[in-house]
Amino acid sequence: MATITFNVLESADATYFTIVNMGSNVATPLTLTVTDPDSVTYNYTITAGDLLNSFNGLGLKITAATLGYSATKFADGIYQFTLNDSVDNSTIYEGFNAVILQDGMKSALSYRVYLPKATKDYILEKMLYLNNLSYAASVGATDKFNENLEILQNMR
Amino acid sequence: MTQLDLQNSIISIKIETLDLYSIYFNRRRIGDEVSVKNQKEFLVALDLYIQILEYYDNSWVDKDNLDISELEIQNVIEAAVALLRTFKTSYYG
Repeated sequence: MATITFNVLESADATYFTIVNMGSNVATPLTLTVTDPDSVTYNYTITAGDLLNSFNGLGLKITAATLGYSATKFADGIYQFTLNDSVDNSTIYEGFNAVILQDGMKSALSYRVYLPKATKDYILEKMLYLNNLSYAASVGATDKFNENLEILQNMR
Repeated sequence: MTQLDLQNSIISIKIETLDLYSIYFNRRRIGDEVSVKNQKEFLVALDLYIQILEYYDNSWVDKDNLDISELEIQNVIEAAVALLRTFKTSYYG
């Protein structure tokens, strides 16, 4: 069987992620293993129905509740996703940042040119670090992702 | 506001912002530091507003669960349009 290739996208509200098959169609049920930033592992079986309806199409939506995650929203950080079909397995890492991104955007809503320089600088600095998160994610720099995420969380 | 309305607003703001950049570049070329300083304030704000609007556009499918309301987004569009309308081609220090 060909190597499984897939992609994961976190929702903007952090309550679910979408997993989609990027390679050739896989026919057998798969086991999805998700490891969160605290190294807690969750398992989900992608059924034949999931494959047919979603995974091989626009994507399978998996909520925090479906996965058995401890909160209603996925915490920010680096997640490891492994798909296993007993013959083959594939692992990817994905940086989740929906919570801190929404927080940054929320504070940026109040940006106005007439605000004191310190206030504007604070908002712009947050936006810089948010940009860094996406840069780090795009080049796979997990340590830099975590570094910027930690700074942003301290700025909340 | 529909998603199409939002996307049209983003496109309009982007096009007009790019026009303002042309003015800004011209002032830089002639060394008009006072105008450049003031104009940059506007351009930085416009860039930020575009980022917010694009974020909301990308989050459209989840927007009902976001902590950002449609009214707040309309206020951002209003703020961006206000900047586009009040941007001066030159400032005198």
